[in-house]
Amino acid sequence: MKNNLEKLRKERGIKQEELAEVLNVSRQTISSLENGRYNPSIILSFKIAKYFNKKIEEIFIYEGEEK
Amino acid sequence: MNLKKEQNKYKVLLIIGIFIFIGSIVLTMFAKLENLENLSEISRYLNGFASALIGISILSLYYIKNKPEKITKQIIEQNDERNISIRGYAASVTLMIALITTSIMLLIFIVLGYTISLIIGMVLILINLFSFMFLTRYYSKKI
Repeated sequence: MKNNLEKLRKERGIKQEELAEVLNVSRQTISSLENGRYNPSIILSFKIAKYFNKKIEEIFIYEGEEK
Repeated sequence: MNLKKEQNKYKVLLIIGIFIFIGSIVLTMFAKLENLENLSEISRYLNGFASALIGISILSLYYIKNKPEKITKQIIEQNDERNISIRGYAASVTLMIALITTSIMLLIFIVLGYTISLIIGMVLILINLFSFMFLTRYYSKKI
């Protein structure tokens, strides 16, 4: 699943550490999310969407089954 | 955030540790009076366990009070959903490796004719398998 997390974070001008602190997750989780290595839980997705004031589908793009 | 909860947890552990420590001292004195060697050994183990519990609790309470940011980071790392997922994957692969290595060990015991070790090993494998089945059922109802 692709996402715009890195772009949105940079637009806000915050570091991965700062976003991690706001979302109560580790910095590595933010890094993995941005690289598309890790798909977040629905709760974390909502937290991210709420933080950036966007809808979940505006941040995370589902492109069908991953191979 | 969760710091108060952590603080309370370590306070409880400290109290438990102190109680076990006092209990182990009473047990040691009783064992010396009655000349019971086995009881004396048990009290030594309890003493060590209690000392470790007290040490860990005091250290954790010190960190919570003086370096809360370190403990906060530790709590976040513990509850981080990605870390929980990683631990889950690692634990499931570790279980498979443990089952395979124990099975190989049992085969070696059969070849060597170590009957008692073979029985103990088989019981351990069965405990692992039943735990796995029980926990799968438990979590399938819970989640």
